Amino acid sequence: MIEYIIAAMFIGLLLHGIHRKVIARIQGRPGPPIWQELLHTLKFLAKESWIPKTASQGVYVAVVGISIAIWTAALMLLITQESLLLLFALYVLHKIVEHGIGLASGSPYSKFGAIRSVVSAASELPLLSSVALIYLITGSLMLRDIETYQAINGPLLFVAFPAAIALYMVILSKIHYGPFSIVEAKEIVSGYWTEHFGVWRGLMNAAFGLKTFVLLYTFVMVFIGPIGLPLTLLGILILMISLSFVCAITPMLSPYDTVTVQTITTGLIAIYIIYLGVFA
Amino acid sequence: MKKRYVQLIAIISGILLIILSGAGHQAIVSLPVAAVLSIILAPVFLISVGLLFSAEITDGDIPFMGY
Amino acid sequence: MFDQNIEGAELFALPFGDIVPFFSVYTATLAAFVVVFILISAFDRPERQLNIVFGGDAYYAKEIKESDTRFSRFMAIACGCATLGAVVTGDVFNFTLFAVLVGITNIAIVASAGNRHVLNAAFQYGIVAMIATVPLFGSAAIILATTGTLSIWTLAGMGAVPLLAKALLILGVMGEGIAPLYIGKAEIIRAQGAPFVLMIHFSSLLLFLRVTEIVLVI
Repeated sequence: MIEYIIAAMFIGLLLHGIHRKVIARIQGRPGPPIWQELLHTLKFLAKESWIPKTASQGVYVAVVGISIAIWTAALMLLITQESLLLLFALYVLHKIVEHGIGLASGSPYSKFGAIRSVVSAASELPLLSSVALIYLITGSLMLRDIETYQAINGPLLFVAFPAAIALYMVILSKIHYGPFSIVEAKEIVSGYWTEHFGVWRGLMNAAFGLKTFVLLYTFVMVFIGPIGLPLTLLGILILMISLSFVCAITPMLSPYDTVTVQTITTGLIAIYIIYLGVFA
Repeated sequence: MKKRYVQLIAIISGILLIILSGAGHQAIVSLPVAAVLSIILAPVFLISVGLLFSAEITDGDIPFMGY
Repeated sequence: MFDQNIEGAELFALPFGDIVPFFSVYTATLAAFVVVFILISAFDRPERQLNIVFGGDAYYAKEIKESDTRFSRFMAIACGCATLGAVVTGDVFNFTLFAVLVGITNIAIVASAGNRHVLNAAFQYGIVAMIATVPLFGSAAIILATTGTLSIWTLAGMGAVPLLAKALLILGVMGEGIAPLYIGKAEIIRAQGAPFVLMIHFSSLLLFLRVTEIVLVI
Protein backbone atom coordinates (compact mmCIF):
# COMPACT_ATOMS: atom_id res chain seq x y z
CA MET A 1 0.00 0.00 0.00
CA ILE A 2 2.64 2.52 1.06
CA GLU A 3 4.46 1.98 -2.22
CA TYR A 4 1.32 3.03 -4.13
CA ILE A 5 0.93 6.11 -1.94
CA ILE A 6 4.53 7.22 -2.42
CA ALA A 7 4.44 6.48 -6.15
CA ALA A 8 1.17 8.38 -6.60
CA MET A 9 2.54 11.39 -4.70
CA PHE A 10 5.68 11.29 -6.83
CA ILE A 11 3.72 11.15 -10.09
CA GLY A 12 1.30 13.82 -8.88
CA LEU A 13 4.11 16.22 -8.02
CA LEU A 14 5.75 15.48 -11.34
CA LEU A 15 2.43 16.31 -13.03
CA HIS A 16 2.37 19.63 -11.17
CA GLY A 17 5.85 20.28 -12.51
CA ILE A 18 4.78 19.46 -16.05
CA HIS A 19 1.77 21.71 -15.53
CA ARG A 20 4.01 24.65 -14.63
CA LYS A 21 6.38 23.91 -17.50
CA VAL A 22 3.60 23.77 -20.10
CA ILE A 23 2.02 26.98 -18.82
CA ALA A 24 5.41 28.69 -18.96
CA ARG A 25 6.16 27.53 -22.50
CA ILE A 26 2.76 28.67 -23.75
CA GLN A 27 3.37 32.07 -22.20
CA GLY A 28 6.83 32.23 -23.82
CA ARG A 29 8.84 31.76 -20.62
CA PRO A 30 11.47 29.04 -20.09
CA GLY A 31 9.71 27.87 -16.93
CA PRO A 32 11.03 25.74 -14.08
CA PRO A 33 12.30 22.19 -14.65
CA ILE A 34 9.54 19.58 -14.41
CA TRP A 35 10.87 18.16 -11.15
CA GLN A 36 10.63 21.60 -9.56
CA GLU A 37 7.57 20.70 -7.48
CA LEU A 38 9.36 17.63 -6.11
CA LEU A 39 12.35 19.76 -5.11
CA HIS A 40 9.94 22.30 -3.69
CA THR A 41 8.34 19.69 -1.47
CA LEU A 42 11.68 18.34 -0.28
CA LYS A 43 12.89 21.86 0.35
CA PHE A 44 9.89 22.61 2.54
CA LEU A 45 10.42 19.39 4.46
CA ALA A 46 13.91 20.49 5.44
CA LYS A 47 12.83 23.94 6.61
CA GLU A 48 12.41 24.91 10.22
CA SER A 49 8.85 24.17 11.28
CA TRP A 50 6.80 25.54 14.06
CA ILE A 51 3.23 26.35 14.95
CA PRO A 52 2.30 30.03 15.19
CA LYS A 53 1.37 31.07 18.70
CA THR A 54 -1.91 32.61 17.56
CA ALA A 55 -2.99 29.46 15.73
CA SER A 56 -5.51 26.92 16.85
CA GLN A 57 -2.87 24.23 17.27
CA GLY A 58 -5.05 21.15 16.87
CA VAL A 59 -6.74 22.32 13.69
CA TYR A 60 -3.46 23.68 12.34
CA VAL A 61 -1.79 20.28 12.48
CA ALA A 62 -4.83 18.04 12.08
CA VAL A 63 -5.87 19.46 8.70
CA VAL A 64 -2.50 18.48 7.28
CA GLY A 65 -2.97 14.91 8.48
CA ILE A 66 -6.58 14.86 7.32
CA SER A 67 -5.67 16.11 3.85
CA ILE A 68 -3.13 13.31 3.51
CA ALA A 69 -5.65 10.79 4.87
CA ILE A 70 -8.43 11.95 2.54
CA TRP A 71 -6.40 11.58 -0.61
CA THR A 72 -4.77 8.36 0.54
CA ALA A 73 -8.30 7.07 1.10
CA ALA A 74 -9.28 8.19 -2.39
CA LEU A 75 -6.29 6.35 -3.83
CA MET A 76 -7.20 3.21 -1.87
CA LEU A 77 -10.72 3.55 -3.21
CA LEU A 78 -9.40 3.33 -6.74
CA ILE A 79 -7.20 0.35 -5.86
CA THR A 80 -9.99 -1.59 -4.13
CA GLN A 81 -12.52 -0.53 -6.82
CA GLU A 82 -15.06 0.80 -4.33
CA SER A 83 -17.91 3.25 -4.78
CA LEU A 84 -17.66 6.43 -6.84
CA LEU A 85 -20.04 8.09 -4.38
CA LEU A 86 -17.42 7.66 -1.68
CA LEU A 87 -14.90 9.43 -3.89
CA PHE A 88 -17.37 12.28 -4.17
CA ALA A 89 -17.64 12.36 -0.38
CA LEU A 90 -13.86 12.52 0.00
CA TYR A 91 -13.70 15.27 -2.57
CA VAL A 92 -16.27 17.28 -0.63
CA LEU A 93 -14.34 16.67 2.60
CA HIS A 94 -11.36 18.26 0.88
CA LYS A 95 -13.36 21.49 1.06
CA ILE A 96 -13.33 21.15 4.85
CA VAL A 97 -9.56 20.83 4.69
CA GLU A 98 -9.24 24.04 2.67
CA HIS A 99 -11.56 25.70 5.10
CA GLY A 100 -9.77 24.41 8.17
CA ILE A 101 -6.34 25.36 6.84
CA GLY A 102 -7.62 28.87 6.28
CA LEU A 103 -9.26 29.28 9.68
CA ALA A 104 -6.59 27.64 11.80
CA SER A 105 -4.01 30.41 11.95
CA GLY A 106 -6.11 33.51 12.51
CA SER A 107 -4.35 35.36 9.68
CA PRO A 108 -6.72 37.57 7.67
CA TYR A 109 -5.26 36.34 4.35
CA SER A 110 -5.83 32.69 5.01
CA LYS A 111 -9.24 33.50 6.44
CA PHE A 112 -10.16 35.22 3.18
CA GLY A 113 -9.05 32.09 1.36
CA ALA A 114 -11.27 30.03 3.63
CA ILE A 115 -14.28 32.27 3.04
CA ARG A 116 -13.72 32.10 -0.70
CA SER A 117 -13.57 28.35 -0.38
CA VAL A 118 -16.98 28.38 1.32
CA VAL A 119 -18.44 30.73 -1.25
CA SER A 120 -17.24 28.59 -4.15
CA ALA A 121 -18.93 25.51 -2.72
CA ALA A 122 -20.66 25.28 -6.10
CA SER A 123 -17.44 23.79 -7.47
CA GLU A 124 -18.28 20.47 -5.80
CA LEU A 125 -21.68 20.12 -7.39
CA PRO A 126 -20.57 19.32 -10.96
CA LEU A 127 -19.00 16.16 -9.54
CA LEU A 128 -22.34 15.19 -8.02
CA SER A 129 -24.14 15.70 -11.32
CA SER A 130 -21.41 13.69 -13.02
CA VAL A 131 -21.87 10.86 -10.49
CA ALA A 132 -25.65 10.95 -10.91
CA LEU A 133 -25.39 10.76 -14.70
CA ILE A 134 -23.02 7.81 -14.51
CA TYR A 135 -25.45 6.08 -12.17
CA LEU A 136 -28.32 6.65 -14.60
CA ILE A 137 -26.33 5.10 -17.44
CA THR A 138 -24.53 2.20 -15.78
CA GLY A 139 -27.02 1.47 -12.96
CA SER A 140 -24.19 1.17 -10.46
CA LEU A 141 -21.65 3.40 -8.78
CA MET A 142 -19.14 0.72 -7.86
CA LEU A 143 -15.96 1.29 -9.87
CA ARG A 144 -15.69 -2.42 -10.65
CA ASP A 145 -19.18 -2.41 -12.21
CA ILE A 146 -18.36 0.71 -14.20
CA GLU A 147 -15.21 -1.00 -15.51
CA THR A 148 -17.22 -4.08 -16.47
CA TYR A 149 -19.80 -1.89 -18.18
CA GLN A 150 -17.09 -0.20 -20.21
CA ALA A 151 -15.45 -3.48 -21.12
CA ILE A 152 -18.76 -4.52 -22.70
CA ASN A 153 -20.20 -1.25 -24.00
CA GLY A 154 -17.11 0.82 -24.77
CA PRO A 155 -15.91 4.02 -23.09
CA LEU A 156 -18.37 6.14 -21.14
CA LEU A 157 -16.75 9.25 -22.58
CA PHE A 158 -19.09 9.25 -25.56
CA VAL A 159 -22.23 8.02 -23.81
CA ALA A 160 -21.89 10.31 -20.82
CA PHE A 161 -20.14 13.27 -22.42
CA PRO A 162 -21.75 15.94 -20.16
CA ALA A 163 -20.57 13.97 -17.11
CA ALA A 164 -17.04 14.03 -18.52
CA ILE A 165 -17.26 17.79 -18.98
CA ALA A 166 -18.48 18.14 -15.40
CA LEU A 167 -15.59 16.13 -14.00
CA TYR A 168 -13.19 18.09 -16.18
CA MET A 169 -14.59 21.29 -14.68
CA VAL A 170 -14.13 19.86 -11.21
CA ILE A 171 -10.48 19.01 -11.86
CA LEU A 172 -9.97 22.42 -13.46
CA SER A 173 -11.38 24.21 -10.43
CA LYS A 174 -8.92 22.42 -8.15
CA ILE A 175 -5.80 22.81 -10.26
CA HIS A 176 -3.13 25.38 -9.39
CA TYR A 177 -2.99 28.56 -11.51
CA GLY A 178 -6.41 27.74 -12.96
CA PRO A 179 -9.19 30.17 -13.83
CA PHE A 180 -11.15 29.15 -10.71
CA SER A 181 -8.37 28.96 -8.13
CA ILE A 182 -9.57 31.99 -6.21
CA VAL A 183 -8.87 30.29 -2.88
CA GLU A 184 -5.13 30.63 -3.44
CA ALA A 185 -5.12 33.83 -5.46
CA LYS A 186 -2.07 36.05 -5.14
CA GLU A 187 -3.99 39.13 -4.02
CA ILE A 188 -4.47 37.31 -0.74
CA VAL A 189 -0.77 36.26 -0.65
CA SER A 190 -1.16 32.49 -1.05
CA GLY A 191 -4.78 32.20 -0.03
CA TYR A 192 -5.78 29.59 2.49
CA TRP A 193 -2.32 28.06 2.95
CA THR A 194 -0.45 31.32 3.48
CA GLU A 195 0.31 30.49 7.10
CA HIS A 196 1.34 26.88 6.63
CA PHE A 197 5.07 26.62 6.11
CA GLY A 198 7.91 24.20 6.57
CA VAL A 199 6.90 20.59 7.06
CA TRP A 200 3.19 21.42 6.95
CA ARG A 201 3.52 23.09 3.58
CA GLY A 202 5.68 20.31 2.18
CA LEU A 203 3.24 17.61 3.26
CA MET A 204 0.29 19.54 1.92
CA ASN A 205 2.13 19.89 -1.37
CA ALA A 206 2.56 16.13 -1.39
CA ALA A 207 -1.12 15.58 -0.52
CA PHE A 208 -2.19 17.91 -3.31
CA GLY A 209 0.06 16.04 -5.71
CA LEU A 210 -1.74 12.90 -4.65
CA LYS A 211 -5.04 14.71 -5.20
CA THR A 212 -4.14 15.69 -8.75
CA PHE A 213 -3.07 12.14 -9.56
CA VAL A 214 -6.21 10.60 -8.05
CA LEU A 215 -8.60 12.97 -9.81
CA LEU A 216 -6.95 12.50 -13.20
CA TYR A 217 -6.74 8.74 -12.68
CA THR A 218 -10.45 8.69 -11.83
CA PHE A 219 -11.23 10.57 -15.00
CA VAL A 220 -9.37 8.08 -17.16
CA MET A 221 -10.73 5.10 -15.22
CA VAL A 222 -14.35 6.20 -15.31
CA PHE A 223 -14.58 7.64 -18.80
CA ILE A 224 -12.08 5.70 -20.86
CA GLY A 225 -12.10 2.39 -19.04
CA PRO A 226 -9.57 -0.31 -18.20
CA ILE A 227 -6.75 0.23 -20.70
CA GLY A 228 -3.73 -0.89 -18.68
CA LEU A 229 -1.34 1.18 -16.59
CA PRO A 230 0.97 2.60 -19.32
CA LEU A 231 -1.92 3.85 -21.45
CA THR A 232 -3.69 5.19 -18.34
CA LEU A 233 -0.58 7.17 -17.42
CA LEU A 234 -0.41 8.47 -20.98
CA GLY A 235 -4.07 9.49 -20.73
CA ILE A 236 -3.36 11.28 -17.46
CA LEU A 237 -0.46 13.14 -19.06
CA ILE A 238 -2.55 14.24 -22.05
CA LEU A 239 -5.34 15.35 -19.72
CA MET A 240 -2.88 17.31 -17.59
CA ILE A 241 -1.42 19.07 -20.62
CA SER A 242 -4.90 19.99 -21.84
CA LEU A 243 -5.64 21.45 -18.40
CA SER A 244 -2.39 23.40 -18.54
CA PHE A 245 -3.45 24.88 -21.86
CA VAL A 246 -6.70 26.07 -20.33
CA CYS A 247 -4.88 27.49 -17.31
CA ALA A 248 -2.27 29.23 -19.47
CA ILE A 249 -4.69 31.07 -21.72
CA THR A 250 -7.40 32.03 -19.22
CA PRO A 251 -6.95 34.73 -16.60
CA MET A 252 -8.11 34.04 -13.06
CA LEU A 253 -11.76 34.95 -12.74
CA SER A 254 -13.06 37.14 -9.96
CA PRO A 255 -14.76 35.27 -7.09
CA TYR A 256 -18.16 36.43 -8.32
CA ASP A 257 -17.57 35.19 -11.88
CA THR A 258 -16.10 31.93 -10.60
CA VAL A 259 -19.23 31.13 -8.63
CA THR A 260 -21.43 32.17 -11.56
CA VAL A 261 -19.64 29.96 -14.07
CA GLN A 262 -19.56 26.97 -11.71
CA THR A 263 -23.22 27.34 -10.81
CA ILE A 264 -24.29 27.66 -14.45
CA THR A 265 -22.32 24.54 -15.41
CA THR A 266 -23.90 22.59 -12.57
CA GLY A 267 -27.35 23.91 -13.45
CA LEU A 268 -27.06 22.92 -17.12
CA ILE A 269 -25.89 19.41 -16.27
CA ALA A 270 -28.59 19.06 -13.62
CA ILE A 271 -31.22 20.02 -16.19
CA TYR A 272 -29.77 17.45 -18.60
CA ILE A 273 -29.91 14.77 -15.89
CA ILE A 274 -33.49 15.61 -14.94
CA TYR A 275 -34.40 15.45 -18.63
CA LEU A 276 -32.64 12.09 -18.94
CA GLY A 277 -34.06 10.68 -15.73
CA VAL A 278 -37.64 11.82 -16.11
CA PHE A 279 -38.37 11.94 -19.83
CA ALA A 280 -35.92 9.58 -21.50
CA MET B 1 7.76 16.27 21.46
CA LYS B 2 11.34 15.19 21.83
CA LYS B 3 13.25 14.05 18.79
CA ARG B 4 13.47 10.49 20.16
CA TYR B 5 9.66 10.13 20.23
CA VAL B 6 9.28 11.45 16.70
CA GLN B 7 11.92 8.98 15.54
CA LEU B 8 10.15 6.16 17.34
CA ILE B 9 6.77 7.05 15.80
CA ALA B 10 8.30 7.30 12.33
CA ILE B 11 10.06 3.95 12.60
CA ILE B 12 7.09 2.07 14.09
CA SER B 13 4.53 3.45 11.63
CA GLY B 14 6.92 2.92 8.73
CA ILE B 15 7.52 -0.72 9.65
CA LEU B 16 3.79 -1.28 10.17
CA LEU B 17 3.04 0.22 6.76
CA ILE B 18 5.59 -2.05 5.07
CA ILE B 19 4.26 -5.11 6.90
CA LEU B 20 0.69 -4.17 5.92
CA SER B 21 1.69 -3.72 2.33
CA GLY B 22 3.39 -7.13 2.26
CA ALA B 23 0.53 -8.82 4.07
CA GLY B 24 -1.95 -7.22 1.68
CA HIS B 25 -0.08 -8.57 -1.35
CA GLN B 26 0.29 -12.05 0.19
CA ALA B 27 -3.45 -12.05 1.06
CA ILE B 28 -2.67 -12.61 4.77
CA VAL B 29 -4.70 -9.48 5.51
CA SER B 30 -7.66 -8.73 3.25
CA LEU B 31 -7.20 -5.80 0.89
CA PRO B 32 -9.84 -3.48 2.45
CA VAL B 33 -8.42 -3.97 5.95
CA ALA B 34 -4.89 -3.25 4.73
CA ALA B 35 -6.22 -0.19 2.89
CA VAL B 36 -8.02 1.23 5.95
CA LEU B 37 -5.02 0.71 8.22
CA SER B 38 -2.68 2.32 5.68
CA ILE B 39 -5.01 5.32 5.45
CA ILE B 40 -4.74 5.79 9.21
CA LEU B 41 -1.00 5.19 9.38
CA ALA B 42 0.09 7.16 6.29
CA PRO B 43 -0.41 10.67 7.78
CA VAL B 44 1.31 9.63 11.02
CA PHE B 45 4.28 8.27 9.10
CA LEU B 46 4.59 11.17 6.69
CA ILE B 47 4.23 13.89 9.33
CA SER B 48 6.77 12.28 11.64
CA VAL B 49 9.24 11.75 8.79
CA GLY B 50 8.71 15.36 7.74
CA LEU B 51 9.37 16.58 11.27
CA LEU B 52 12.54 14.51 11.40
CA PHE B 53 13.77 16.13 8.19
CA SER B 54 13.36 19.57 9.69
CA ALA B 55 14.63 18.52 13.13
CA GLU B 56 18.23 18.70 11.91
CA ILE B 57 18.29 22.45 12.30
CA THR B 58 16.46 22.85 15.60
CA ASP B 59 17.15 21.65 19.08
CA GLY B 60 14.57 21.01 21.76
CA ASP B 61 10.91 20.53 20.98
CA ILE B 62 9.69 19.48 17.55
CA PRO B 63 7.67 21.23 16.26
CA PHE B 64 8.64 24.34 18.15
CA MET B 65 5.56 26.06 19.59
CA GLY B 66 6.56 29.63 19.27
CA TYR B 67 6.14 33.21 18.45
CA MET C 1 -28.83 -7.48 3.45
CA PHE C 2 -28.25 -3.92 2.47
CA ASP C 3 -25.78 -4.41 -0.35
CA GLN C 4 -26.62 -1.57 -2.67
CA ASN C 5 -24.30 -1.04 -5.60
CA ILE C 6 -24.28 2.65 -4.74
CA GLU C 7 -22.41 2.94 -1.49
CA GLY C 8 -20.51 -0.28 -1.00
CA ALA C 9 -21.04 -3.35 1.12
CA GLU C 10 -22.90 -3.44 4.42
CA LEU C 11 -20.58 -3.64 7.41
CA PHE C 12 -22.93 -3.67 10.38
CA ALA C 13 -26.66 -3.52 11.10
CA LEU C 14 -28.59 -3.19 14.36
CA PRO C 15 -32.23 -4.22 13.91
CA PHE C 16 -34.76 -2.36 16.10
CA GLY C 17 -37.98 -3.63 14.53
CA ASP C 18 -38.12 -2.03 11.11
CA ILE C 19 -35.82 0.83 12.11
CA VAL C 20 -32.36 -0.48 11.33
CA PRO C 21 -29.32 1.70 12.00
CA PHE C 22 -26.61 0.43 9.68
CA PHE C 23 -23.09 1.11 8.52
CA SER C 24 -22.20 0.77 4.89
CA VAL C 25 -18.69 1.51 3.64
CA TYR C 26 -19.94 4.97 2.78
CA THR C 27 -21.63 5.90 6.06
CA ALA C 28 -18.86 4.30 8.11
CA THR C 29 -16.31 6.54 6.38
CA LEU C 30 -18.43 9.61 7.03
CA ALA C 31 -18.96 8.60 10.67
CA ALA C 32 -15.21 8.17 11.16
CA PHE C 33 -14.63 11.71 9.91
CA VAL C 34 -17.37 13.07 12.17
CA VAL C 35 -15.72 11.48 15.19
CA VAL C 36 -12.39 13.04 14.27
CA PHE C 37 -13.96 16.48 14.00
CA ILE C 38 -15.89 16.10 17.26
CA LEU C 39 -12.60 15.32 18.99
CA ILE C 40 -10.96 18.35 17.41
CA SER C 41 -13.74 20.69 18.53
CA ALA C 42 -13.83 19.14 21.99
CA PHE C 43 -10.15 19.47 22.79
CA ASP C 44 -8.65 22.15 20.60
CA ARG C 45 -8.21 25.73 21.68
CA PRO C 46 -9.50 28.55 19.45
CA GLU C 47 -7.15 30.63 17.35
CA ARG C 48 -6.48 34.31 18.02
CA GLN C 49 -7.58 36.35 15.06
CA LEU C 50 -5.11 38.89 13.74
CA ASN C 51 -6.53 42.25 12.78
CA ILE C 52 -4.75 44.94 10.89
CA VAL C 53 -4.93 48.50 12.18
CA PHE C 54 -6.00 50.74 9.34
CA GLY C 55 -3.71 53.60 8.46
CA GLY C 56 -0.57 51.97 9.75
CA ASP C 57 1.40 48.77 9.50
CA ALA C 58 0.48 47.63 13.01
CA TYR C 59 -1.64 44.64 13.79
CA TYR C 60 -3.04 43.12 16.94
CA ALA C 61 -4.19 39.70 18.01
CA LYS C 62 -7.59 39.41 19.65
CA GLU C 63 -7.67 37.65 22.97
CA ILE C 64 -10.30 35.02 23.70
CA LYS C 65 -10.99 34.10 27.29
CA GLU C 66 -11.55 30.45 28.02
CA SER C 67 -14.92 31.25 29.58
CA ASP C 68 -16.13 32.82 26.33
CA THR C 69 -15.56 29.65 24.38
CA ARG C 70 -17.46 27.31 26.69
CA PHE C 71 -20.82 27.80 25.09
CA SER C 72 -19.43 27.58 21.55
CA ARG C 73 -17.51 24.47 22.44
CA PHE C 74 -20.54 22.79 23.95
CA MET C 75 -22.66 23.65 20.91
CA ALA C 76 -19.94 22.49 18.52
CA ILE C 77 -19.86 19.13 20.26
CA ALA C 78 -23.66 18.99 20.19
CA CYS C 79 -23.56 19.82 16.50
CA GLY C 80 -21.02 17.05 15.94
CA CYS C 81 -23.24 14.57 17.77
CA ALA C 82 -26.26 15.64 15.71
CA THR C 83 -24.20 15.18 12.55
CA LEU C 84 -23.11 11.75 13.72
CA GLY C 85 -26.77 10.89 14.31
CA ALA C 86 -27.75 12.08 10.86
CA VAL C 87 -24.97 10.03 9.31
CA VAL C 88 -25.62 6.72 11.04
CA THR C 89 -29.41 6.73 11.36
CA GLY C 90 -31.43 4.27 9.33
CA ASP C 91 -34.64 6.24 9.38
CA VAL C 92 -35.78 9.17 7.26
CA PHE C 93 -37.62 10.90 10.11
CA ASN C 94 -34.66 10.67 12.43
CA PHE C 95 -32.52 12.04 9.66
CA THR C 96 -34.77 15.09 9.28
CA LEU C 97 -34.76 15.62 13.04
CA PHE C 98 -30.99 15.52 13.19
CA ALA C 99 -30.80 17.86 10.20
CA VAL C 100 -32.92 20.43 12.01
CA LEU C 101 -30.82 19.96 15.13
CA VAL C 102 -27.71 20.70 13.08
CA GLY C 103 -29.33 23.90 11.83
CA ILE C 104 -30.17 25.05 15.37
CA THR C 105 -26.75 24.23 16.83
CA ASN C 106 -25.08 26.00 13.91
CA ILE C 107 -26.73 29.24 14.93
CA ALA C 108 -25.89 28.61 18.55
CA ILE C 109 -22.17 28.09 17.82
CA VAL C 110 -21.83 31.72 16.74
CA ALA C 111 -24.42 33.09 19.17
CA SER C 112 -21.75 33.92 21.73
CA ALA C 113 -19.82 36.05 19.24
CA GLY C 114 -19.96 39.75 20.01
CA ASN C 115 -19.67 40.83 16.36
CA ARG C 116 -22.83 42.45 15.03
CA HIS C 117 -22.25 41.33 11.41
CA VAL C 118 -21.85 37.75 12.51
CA LEU C 119 -25.00 37.85 14.62
CA ASN C 120 -26.96 39.44 11.77
CA ALA C 121 -25.83 36.72 9.40
CA ALA C 122 -26.68 34.08 11.99
CA PHE C 123 -30.15 35.54 12.39
CA GLN C 124 -30.80 35.52 8.64
CA TYR C 125 -29.43 32.03 8.29
CA GLY C 126 -31.66 31.01 11.19
CA ILE C 127 -34.76 32.22 9.37
CA VAL C 128 -33.81 30.22 6.26
CA ALA C 129 -33.04 27.15 8.37
CA MET C 130 -36.37 27.36 10.19
CA ILE C 131 -38.33 27.74 6.95
CA ALA C 132 -36.42 24.79 5.52
CA THR C 133 -37.89 22.53 8.18
CA VAL C 134 -41.22 22.65 6.31
CA PRO C 135 -40.03 20.81 3.17
CA LEU C 136 -37.82 18.61 5.35
CA PHE C 137 -40.63 17.25 7.53
CA GLY C 138 -43.04 17.49 4.60
CA SER C 139 -40.93 15.02 2.63
CA ALA C 140 -40.84 12.63 5.61
CA ALA C 141 -44.64 12.88 5.81
CA ILE C 142 -45.03 12.19 2.09
CA ILE C 143 -42.70 9.19 2.30
CA LEU C 144 -44.66 7.76 5.22
CA ALA C 145 -47.99 8.39 3.52
CA THR C 146 -47.03 6.77 0.22
CA THR C 147 -44.93 3.82 1.37
CA GLY C 148 -46.11 3.18 4.94
CA THR C 149 -42.60 3.15 6.35
CA LEU C 150 -39.75 5.54 7.01
CA SER C 151 -37.02 2.95 7.32
CA ILE C 152 -34.25 3.44 4.78
CA TRP C 153 -33.44 -0.23 5.30
CA THR C 154 -36.88 -1.29 4.05
CA LEU C 155 -37.12 1.33 1.33
CA ALA C 156 -33.67 0.64 -0.11
CA GLY C 157 -33.70 -0.33 -3.73
CA MET C 158 -37.52 -0.40 -3.95
CA GLY C 159 -37.85 2.87 -5.83
CA ALA C 160 -41.23 3.38 -4.13
CA VAL C 161 -40.56 6.92 -2.91
CA PRO C 162 -42.12 9.63 -5.12
CA LEU C 163 -39.79 12.09 -6.81
CA LEU C 164 -41.50 14.99 -5.04
CA ALA C 165 -40.54 13.64 -1.61
CA LYS C 166 -36.91 13.28 -2.70
CA ALA C 167 -36.89 16.81 -4.12
CA LEU C 168 -38.37 18.22 -0.89
CA LEU C 169 -35.84 16.33 1.18
CA ILE C 170 -32.97 17.83 -0.81
CA LEU C 171 -34.57 21.28 -0.65
CA GLY C 172 -34.87 20.99 3.12
CA VAL C 173 -31.25 20.01 3.61
CA MET C 174 -30.21 22.79 1.23
CA GLY C 175 -32.01 25.23 3.50
CA GLU C 176 -30.05 23.90 6.47
CA GLY C 177 -26.94 25.25 4.88
CA ILE C 178 -25.61 24.10 1.51
CA ALA C 179 -25.41 25.69 -1.91
CA PRO C 180 -27.01 27.99 -2.96
CA LEU C 181 -28.53 28.93 0.40
CA TYR C 182 -25.20 28.75 2.24
CA ILE C 183 -24.50 32.35 1.23
CA GLY C 184 -26.16 33.45 4.45
CA LYS C 185 -23.42 31.55 6.22
CA ALA C 186 -20.46 33.31 4.63
CA GLU C 187 -20.42 36.05 7.28
CA ILE C 188 -20.78 33.51 10.08
CA ILE C 189 -17.37 32.21 9.14
CA ARG C 190 -15.88 35.47 10.44
CA ALA C 191 -16.70 34.43 13.99
CA GLN C 192 -13.81 33.44 16.18
CA GLY C 193 -12.84 29.95 17.19
CA ALA C 194 -11.59 27.87 14.26
CA PRO C 195 -12.51 24.43 15.68
CA PHE C 196 -16.11 25.49 16.31
CA VAL C 197 -16.64 27.47 13.14
CA LEU C 198 -15.17 24.60 11.17
CA MET C 199 -17.90 22.41 12.64
CA ILE C 200 -20.61 24.65 11.11
CA HIS C 201 -19.32 24.04 7.65
CA PHE C 202 -18.45 20.43 8.25
CA SER C 203 -21.89 19.49 9.57
CA SER C 204 -23.78 20.95 6.63
CA LEU C 205 -21.49 19.28 4.10
CA LEU C 206 -21.93 15.95 5.87
CA LEU C 207 -25.71 16.38 5.85
CA PHE C 208 -25.49 16.98 2.15
CA LEU C 209 -23.39 13.86 1.60
CA ARG C 210 -25.81 11.75 3.61
CA VAL C 211 -28.89 13.11 1.85
CA THR C 212 -27.29 12.35 -1.51
CA GLU C 213 -26.90 8.75 -0.42
CA ILE C 214 -30.47 8.54 0.95
CA VAL C 215 -31.98 9.97 -2.22
CA LEU C 216 -30.02 7.59 -4.44
CA VAL C 217 -30.82 4.56 -2.29
CA ILE C 218 -34.53 4.91 -1.52
